[in-house]
Amino acid sequence: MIWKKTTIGVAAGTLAASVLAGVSGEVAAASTHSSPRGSSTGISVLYSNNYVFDSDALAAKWWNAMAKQWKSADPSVKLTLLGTGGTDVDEMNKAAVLFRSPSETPCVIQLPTTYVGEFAGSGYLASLNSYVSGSSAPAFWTGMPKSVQAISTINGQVDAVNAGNNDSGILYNKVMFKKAGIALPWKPKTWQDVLSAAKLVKKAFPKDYALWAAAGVGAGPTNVLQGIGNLIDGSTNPTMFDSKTGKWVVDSPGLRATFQFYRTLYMDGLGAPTSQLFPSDSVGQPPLLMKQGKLAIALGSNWYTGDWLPTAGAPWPQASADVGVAAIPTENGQAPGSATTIGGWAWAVSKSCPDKADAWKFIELAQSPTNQLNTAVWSGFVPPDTQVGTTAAFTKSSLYQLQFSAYASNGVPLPNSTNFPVYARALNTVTGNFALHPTTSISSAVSTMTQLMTQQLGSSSIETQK
Amino acid sequence: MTALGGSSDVGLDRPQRRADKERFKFTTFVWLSPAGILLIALFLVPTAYAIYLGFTNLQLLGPHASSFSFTGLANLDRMVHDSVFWSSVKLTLVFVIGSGIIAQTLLGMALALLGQRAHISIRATVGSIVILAWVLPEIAVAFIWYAFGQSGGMLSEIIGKPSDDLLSTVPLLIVCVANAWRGTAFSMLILSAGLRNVPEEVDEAAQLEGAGYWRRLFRITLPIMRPTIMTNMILITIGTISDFTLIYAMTQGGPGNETAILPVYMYIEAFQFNALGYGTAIALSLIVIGGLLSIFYIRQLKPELGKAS
Repeated sequence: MIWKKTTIGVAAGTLAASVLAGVSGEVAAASTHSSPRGSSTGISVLYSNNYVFDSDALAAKWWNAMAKQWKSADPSVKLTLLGTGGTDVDEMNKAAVLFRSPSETPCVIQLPTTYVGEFAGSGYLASLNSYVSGSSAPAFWTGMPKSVQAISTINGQVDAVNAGNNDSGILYNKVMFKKAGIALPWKPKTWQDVLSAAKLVKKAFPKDYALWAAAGVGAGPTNVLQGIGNLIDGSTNPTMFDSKTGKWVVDSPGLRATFQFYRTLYMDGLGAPTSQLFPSDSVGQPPLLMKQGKLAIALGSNWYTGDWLPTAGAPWPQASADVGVAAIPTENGQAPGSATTIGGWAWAVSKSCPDKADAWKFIELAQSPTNQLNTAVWSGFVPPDTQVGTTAAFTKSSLYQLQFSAYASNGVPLPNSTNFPVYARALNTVTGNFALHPTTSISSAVSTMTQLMTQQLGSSSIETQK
Repeated sequence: MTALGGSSDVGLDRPQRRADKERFKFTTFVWLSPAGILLIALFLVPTAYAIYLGFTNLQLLGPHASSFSFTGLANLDRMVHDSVFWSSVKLTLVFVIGSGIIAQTLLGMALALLGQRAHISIRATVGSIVILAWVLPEIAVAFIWYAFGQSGGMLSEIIGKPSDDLLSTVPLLIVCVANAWRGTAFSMLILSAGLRNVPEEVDEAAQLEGAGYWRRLFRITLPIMRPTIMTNMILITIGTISDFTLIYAMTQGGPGNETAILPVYMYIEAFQFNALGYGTAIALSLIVIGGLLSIFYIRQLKPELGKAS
């Protein structure tokens, strides 16, 4: 019987040990050490292998070209490319762990603009002001609209340089619109116009999805950038984060109107089903559904049209004839008439990089007109430099790029705060609730926002706007 | 002879060393030191550090990412007032007890008993199929059930409501079923081995006394198998309580927080909300729950442990 006692004892001990191991594993991951990467004779660059470009092959093509250009420009400085797999969140988690150790920290990081505030707030990023100010400011910087420069500038410090942006608009299926009796070209002036069109389409195509508006927590903060954020920006109270008080807005007339839009959308059965909305890869669904003729209207991003190119994920030669585009209207058609979030990817230099001059040289190379154009075309970005954005090579690269570039003039960046992921999760929980339980009341949605934000950040971090 | 006899006398006067009693030897330290050093470096130190981090304001990103400090019981206070945490504890218990301990033990026992009575070819075939679910990588199981449970999936077709998105409407049930489906084979193997250890003569004696199948099962087989069943339950608890991959791949803890069991909630706090200190504190709460379950198991096994000693 001794073996039984031993076995049982070991098993019971392992029960506690396995839980402890989970904890220690997390900590071990957060304090990994190895040989230094940055040195005076080389720089390292951390980037996403899978999440920036339309395909892995295009990513490899761009980065191989960069490596070649770097080598031919200065063979004495070694360039170490640290491509990482997974989503943007995966890359950022890896970066956050690497940045905890100066010897592990890459010199240059390619990061989503929504994370710049978090890295800057951690004290991880070097100021780039000296590189972009005065007469020596590079052309790619002076060619950027002030609003784009501001995306990664916090309290006057340039923390990162924009590499390309996504903004939003409405893409619609002209064939379905014609059958539904909606006049073309369709130019909605208010949110009600959008919902009315969706109702007509639903009547004509009861089995298909009338309107895509991202919902749920699956896709993370991206769902705010490409979904509800656009509506909040077009509402009468377009504030998510009150920079004057440093508080998050959990209740306002604009937020309530936005919630009402979502409520109507799902209450009237106009939205996509939760099986399409909730997965982590749901962001990629609208272009596919539109191509399949299952989705009539998408409140979505400029990169969708790039997905329909012959070399991309969902080739659709008929898209130029079958798809129309419109700006996302403001709530009641109030000025400026259209709204969109704007956000993308940026280059930053780590504070602990031993050779910041070489790191900056890398950014200059990555932002050359050709490299910037290739990034934009192969990633579905609007180039940050308007000179590149207005070239025929870009405007003809895929459908409606000129229109999306125009919409970006009203673009509003998402809050550049460390706690934005918390706010984004609260918003996504509310939209998910509407998709799952359309009868959810507006006051209940506001209450959920308040509760989730209070739990995470405390009641002193939230406010109501009248 | 004298010398020999003298030596013998001295030997008789000296207290004899008992051969069956363990003696302390310094060389023991030498032989144990490699394992001891590894245990200290790779387990005890990180664990102690993790416990410390659970009482700090450490962030993954943010002002406290590089300069964090000890915050006493602040994380504990937050945890006590965090309704999502308590909902997460409840979900964890439902997941571990419902889909792990109860479902896997019952299904594993049923399969083991059926296998005992079935023809060897049927037993081998069924066993192979069931084990296939167990040997599949957890991520593969997650995607199988993800496809199976969503609208248009086979499950909604089977129940006659193809447009129902069961993964969104009854998410906890679906992830519980997926976990039970995956883990049943393990229980079946353990309990089959336990069944083979039940002495046939005891069963035959009861049969001769006129006891029916169910009476023999509940009065003889299961009591004899009690230690095996409890060991199986402990191992299931170990495998289920820290499960992350299955649920995160299927639902990311959603919709809302409806499937955010503690490991998932810990991940959300630590890696999505950057609250690494609070996330570690949640992980520590898992130790407490694991510890409580361990105490429960040890108490249940007290009779067997008493006999063994």
